[in-house]
Amino acid sequence: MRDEQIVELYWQRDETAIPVTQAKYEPYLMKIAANILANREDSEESVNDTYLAAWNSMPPQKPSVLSAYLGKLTRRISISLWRKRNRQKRQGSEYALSLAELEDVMSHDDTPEQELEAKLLGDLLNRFLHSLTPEERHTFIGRYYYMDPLKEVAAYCGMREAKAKTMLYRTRQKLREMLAKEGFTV
Amino acid sequence: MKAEMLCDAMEYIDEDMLAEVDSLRMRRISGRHWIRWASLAASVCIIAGGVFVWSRMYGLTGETEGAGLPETGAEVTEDQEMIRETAAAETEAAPDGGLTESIAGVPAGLDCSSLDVSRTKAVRLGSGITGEVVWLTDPADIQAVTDCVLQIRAENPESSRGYYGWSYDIALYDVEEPTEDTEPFWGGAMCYGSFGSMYLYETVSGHQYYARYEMTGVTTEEVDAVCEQFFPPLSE
Repeated sequence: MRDEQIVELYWQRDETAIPVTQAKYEPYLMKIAANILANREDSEESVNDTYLAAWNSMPPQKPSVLSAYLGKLTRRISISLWRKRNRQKRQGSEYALSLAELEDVMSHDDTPEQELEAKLLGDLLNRFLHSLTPEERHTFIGRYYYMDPLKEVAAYCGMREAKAKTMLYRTRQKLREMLAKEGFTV
Repeated sequence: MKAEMLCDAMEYIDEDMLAEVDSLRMRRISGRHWIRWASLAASVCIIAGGVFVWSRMYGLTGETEGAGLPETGAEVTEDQEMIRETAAAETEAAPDGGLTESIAGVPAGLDCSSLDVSRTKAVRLGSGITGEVVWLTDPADIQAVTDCVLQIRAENPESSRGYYGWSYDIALYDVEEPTEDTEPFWGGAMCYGSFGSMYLYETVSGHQYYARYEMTGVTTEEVDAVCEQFFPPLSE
C-alpha cells in the first residue's frame, strides 16, 4: 500500500491504519529504536508507542514521506525512553556513544529555553548539512540521526571505517565553528 | 548547551535529506554475503530440477505468467513496479533450496525442506540489532541452525524498498573456513515483527534484488530464538 493510502486511513480514522503501518514499517522502526535502546523489549515498547503517536497525530499531520515521519516519532520516543531508563548512567547503546562523540562540539553548561534553542539549532543544522558534500552529509546523518554503528555507516556510505571516523571528526569541527559563528554557546 | 540538545535538534533535519540516507541504508542490505544464482545453477539437484521443469511447463500455460503481477492495463503498485524493474533474465536452472520460479525472475515461493544442508561446513549469523557477527563451525551448532532453516517456507514476495531492519541473518557455507568474501550457498534474514516475514537475497544473472517474503512455516520468532543463543545477551 502506498504511503498516501496509509495516511488516508489515519485521516479516515480507519483502525486498519495501524496494522498496515506495522506490516510495512515495523522492521525499519525497530532498527531505529534498537540503535538507541539496545534492548529488544524497550524497542518493541517504543515502536508500539510510535503507532499510538501516529494515530494521535494524523490528522492534523499529513506527512508526505511517511517513513521519515514515523522514524522521527520513533527516534523521539526512544530517546525519551532511554533518558528515563538511564538518567544517571550511560550504557553501551549507539545513542550513548554518538552523544559522547558530540560532546566535543558542545559545552557542558546548561542554558535556558532549550526547546526554542533546539528549533533554532535545527534550522542551523539544515543549513550546515546543505553546505556539506553528500558523503559528509550522509555519514553525519547516518551516525548522529539514525545512530547506526560507525561500521555500518562506513559500509553504506561506501568507505572504510577509518575514513568515516576521520570524516565525522572533521565534520564535527566544522559544525563547532559554525555554531560559534552563529552565536551558539559552545 | 549540551550535546543532548544538539541531538534533539536533529529532529528538525529536512526529510529529503533523511530520505537520501535512507536509500543508502536500504541498499546496504543487498550486500555481498548473499546468493548468486549463477553459481547455484551449477549445483541444482534432481528434485529442484524437477520443480524447475514443472514450473516452466506450468508457466507456458500462462497460468503463472507474471505471477503476482497485475493484468495489462490494471494499476501497477509501487512494489510490483520495483520487481519488474529489477527482474533479470530467467535462470537457466532451478536454484537450490526448493525455489519456485516466476517469469519475472523473482522466486514466487521458497521451501527449504529440500535444501541440502548436509553440505554445510560453516554458518555465519549476523545480528541486525547490534551488527555483531558469529561464525559457527561446531557440528552441533551448525545442526541447530540448519534444522531450523529446513523448516522455512515463504511465499508472496514483494519489493522491500524502504522496508528494512532485521533481527538475525543466516548464511550457510559449504567451505571449511569461509571469510566475509566467500559466497554462501543459502542466505536469509528475519524481519522484526509478529506478522512474520523474511528477506531473501540473491543475484539473478548479475542483477541483485531483494524481496520480502511472508513466512508460512517456522516463524521469525522461532528462528530468532535459535540464533539468539549464539549471541551475548542485549543489555537489560
